[in-house]
Order: sequence, then structure tokens, then C-alpha cells
Amino acid sequence: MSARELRFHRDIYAGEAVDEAVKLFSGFADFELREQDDAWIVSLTAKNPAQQTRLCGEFSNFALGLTIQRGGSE
Amino acid sequence: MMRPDLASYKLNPSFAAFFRYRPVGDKIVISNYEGSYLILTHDEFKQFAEGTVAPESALYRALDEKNFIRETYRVADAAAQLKARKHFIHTGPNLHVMVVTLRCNETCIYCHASRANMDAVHTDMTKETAEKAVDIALSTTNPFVTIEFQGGEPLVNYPVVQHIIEYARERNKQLGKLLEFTMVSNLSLMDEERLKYLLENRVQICTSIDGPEKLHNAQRKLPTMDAFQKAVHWIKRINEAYGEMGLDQTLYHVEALMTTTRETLPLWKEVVDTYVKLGCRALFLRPVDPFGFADRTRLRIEYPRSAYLDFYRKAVDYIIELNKQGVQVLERFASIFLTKILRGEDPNFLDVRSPAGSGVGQLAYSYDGKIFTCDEGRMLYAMGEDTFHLGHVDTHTYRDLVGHETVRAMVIASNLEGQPDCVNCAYNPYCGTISATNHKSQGSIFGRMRDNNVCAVHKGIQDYLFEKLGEGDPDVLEIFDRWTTVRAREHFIQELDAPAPDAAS
Repeated sequence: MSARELRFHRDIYAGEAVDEAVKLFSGFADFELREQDDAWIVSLTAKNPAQQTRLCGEFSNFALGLTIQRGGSE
Repeated sequence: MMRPDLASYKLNPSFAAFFRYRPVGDKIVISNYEGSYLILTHDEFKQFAEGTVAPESALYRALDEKNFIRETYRVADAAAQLKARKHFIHTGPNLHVMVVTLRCNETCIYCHASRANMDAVHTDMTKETAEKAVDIALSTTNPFVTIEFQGGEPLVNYPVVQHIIEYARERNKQLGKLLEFTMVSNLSLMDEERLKYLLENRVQICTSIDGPEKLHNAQRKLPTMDAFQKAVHWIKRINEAYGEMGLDQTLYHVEALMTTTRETLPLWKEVVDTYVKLGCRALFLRPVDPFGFADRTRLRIEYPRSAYLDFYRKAVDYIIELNKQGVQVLERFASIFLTKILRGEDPNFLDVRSPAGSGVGQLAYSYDGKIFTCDEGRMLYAMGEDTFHLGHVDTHTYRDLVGHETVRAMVIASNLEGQPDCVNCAYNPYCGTISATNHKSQGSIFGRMRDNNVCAVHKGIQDYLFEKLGEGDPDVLEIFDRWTTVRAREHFIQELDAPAPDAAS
């Protein structure tokens, strides 16, 4: 199963929110985290390959929700 | 604007169903979740808010008919109305903007597109990149696909325009999409051979007219200083050609767009007269956007939005007077909002819908294969901001793009049901916000509506329209109704069984 790379732009997403989402979803997927100047890069590999697409969507939504709860990317 | 003194009301929350309100002139507009509206006097509004409307009164019947009464609220009707309004949610991007080159032979003082000089041939899209962009565009889940040629000036890279048309038509034989092509051109590089090809291939042609000759030529500069004359020549020639093809010229004509600068504001009458004289049936009184050169020249071309709204009111008042005299011309912003207000339908104008169209209604493909949420996102990339860059034609699939983390955020940010201020605004069912513009002007894709220029323009235009609706002039109501009548331009839909077009013809 190959990892799916997700790109969370720093202008839009809070790094802490992405980290928190990774912790919460770590029971369902393996993660590799990288940083670029403009984005947080998350490589997600679902433990159950059949859930890969859904997990990517749910994980992204969760990171977005946590960012909004924090009041934005800053 | 007279505000109701709510503190003096004895509010009765059990009478009214959910509603939003806004004072407009000496009246109050109320709207509900599904987008029905009523325009009430202050006395009627007080009765409504206090729940003292007599059941046998005309006001009660009007409130009931529009679903404003809690006791008789018809949930199924509201759901059906909302579903009709939000029809666009269930389909993917239909607009695919292809920037076939950044090169342009005109220099516009407000150029949003960040054009390049004519010798910058490295900013031309290649045929290989074009094919990959078309493949992604045609993989949309939307049955309607519009490929819009943009630039720069698309006629500068005319061979790739032809290649996209022919490749897309060929690919679409298997896919069966309702495919259209639109070209946004300054027309100065048009010739009879190109026109023949574009007409034969049913390409809808749009251009820019900024107003009278002197203004247009001052803002859109050709080395020969005759941008206006060239655009006007080809507008007339293309309209004439539509007539020769037997097409109804009230429906088929060159669409022209304008950009309002500070110099435009006192020329509202001259602008309208120019369009009418050219035989245009529609004007789009667009304010200047904060992208591209317009960001650098803003001190010279920008203006307070209150000045724009004054310009807008004068121009549309004049357009209405012309309509009363039998001249058929409409203002596009008014037409978009009125279609939503009066018809309960959404014309799917991507910048005025909720959620907005970025990534889920449109995708923009730059000359080098980079893909953006929208054309504004591409413009920002050219200004050094890569926030709305989604991927590349070489590496990303359709699913990667529309499900991208940035697209998710933009959908949430432009959903007015979750936007502070918008959530309480009476114009919520008819309005929209633009994440890329918010990001550029306010540093957040969500924006802050209290001091947001786009919000000020949208609210100001809707205030004007509701004032006119509230005045109840039957002639104006009839004109507004006509402006919301959408007639499909089926000629521009590609025929699936048509023979492959010949580039040499």
C-alpha cells in the first residue's frame, strides 16, 4: 500500500492542528511528517488499505476543523 | 436606512419561523433559510416579530405563502427549494480555465493576469501540457464542461487553442459531456481565417470594453493606441457573422466585460451608451480586483467602494430608463442576484454562490501545467503566493485536485452558513464570498465581512435591488423579471457526432 501525500498550506492550516489530528488518527494509519517553507506535508498509509481514501478525507477534515477551532492558521 | 427599535418590541419567538432581516430604505427585507423573501413596512415587521399578525389579514397570508410562520412551516417545501438553489453542490467543476500563454500584445493598467511581453515564448502552453489539462478537465464528474481560453492573450498561442479544441472534441466522443469552448480575447489579433475556424467550431467569444474610446485606449494600451477600434471592429464583425449563420442575435452576440477604475466612475452614462451603441445586450459593471498589476497601480486606479456603489446606482438607474424606452440591455450583477431572488434558482456564477466555485466549480490550468483552485489563485501565484496551487497536470489526478486540503478549506471558508455576519445577513441565500480575494486583501481565506470590499459591493447592489423591488414600479418589476429569463445558448454546445474539425479549414 503506497502512502498518500497530503499538503496542508501554512497560510490555511495550523501546524498544531495537523499534529493533533495525526495523534488522533495514529490508531488507523501510519504517518510520516515533513515540513516545507509553505506547507506541512503528511504521508498517510492506512492500516487497512480499504480505508485509505476515506481516512485521507476524514483526516483532512479533522485537521481543518481543529484549525478553525483555533481561530485560523496563526 | 431606518433601523427597527427592537428594544421596544415584545418579541414572540413562537410565531415566526427562522428568518433574517435587513433594513433597506424605509422598509425591512426579511428572508428565510430557503431564500424566500418579503419586503415589510416597519409596522408590518413589528407585527411579525411580536406575533400579532391577524390570521385573516393579507400580511398573514403573505407570510404563510412564503413560509415565514412557525406553526404552518412546510419543511418538505423548504428542503425542495434549498435543493434547487444548491443544485451545483452535487456536480464537480464545470469551468476549466486554460491559460494558453501569458504573452499579451496589450498592456492594461489593471491587468489581473500578470501578462508577459510578446517575446516571452517560454510562457506558451505546449500541446503535450494542453492534452493533459484536457484529460483532467474531461474527467470531471460534471456532465457540463466549459473550457475557457484565457491568457495573456489566447490568440497569441492560437495553434494550441486549435489543438485543445480538436483534442477535447475527439476525447469527448467517448465521454459524451456537454462540452463548450469560450475564448476571452482582446480581439486585436483576430483575422477572418481565425474567426471562420472559431465560428465553425462553436467557440463563444468574449472581450473587454472598458467604456468610451478615450477611456478604453487609456486603460488598455496597444502600441498603435487603437485597442478600442480593433475590439469594436471585431465585435461588429462577429455579431454580423452570427446573423449570417442564421442565429438569433438577441441571444448570440459577443459578450463584453468591463473593469471599473477610478477614471470610470464619472463616466457611468458614457459607459452604458458605448455598450448600447455596440449592440451589447449586457454590461458587467465589475469593480477592479486586487490582483496582478492592479495591486501595484491601486493608488492610481482604486476607489472607495461607496464611490463604486454610487456609480453602480447611477448606471443601473440609467439602464432601467433605457429599458423603459425599449432598449434591451441588462446589468450582469443585477441579473445574477435577481435570478436568485426572484426565481429561486442559482445561475451558478462561481464568485457569487455558497460555497464558492474554487476547486469544486472551476479549476485553472496555467501555461506550464500547474493547476489552481481558480483563476484568482493562479493570479496570486504569479504575485508570489502559492496558497491556491493544487498540483500539476503531470502528477495529479482529478480526485487529488478536487479533494485537495486547500479545496476543503476553501469550501468551508466560502460556506456562508458558517461565516460570521453572513450567517445573520438577510442576503445570505443570494450571496457569496471569494476565498482567494479574502486571502489577498485580508490575509485569511475566511475574510472579515465587516470591512470586506466584496461584501460591501454585494450588499450595496442587493440593497439597491431590494429598494427597487420595494418601490413596486410595475415597469421596473417587469424589466427585472426579463433580466432573470435565462435562455440557453445551445449552439455553443459541441455536437457529439460532428466530424473532427479540420485545423486547415
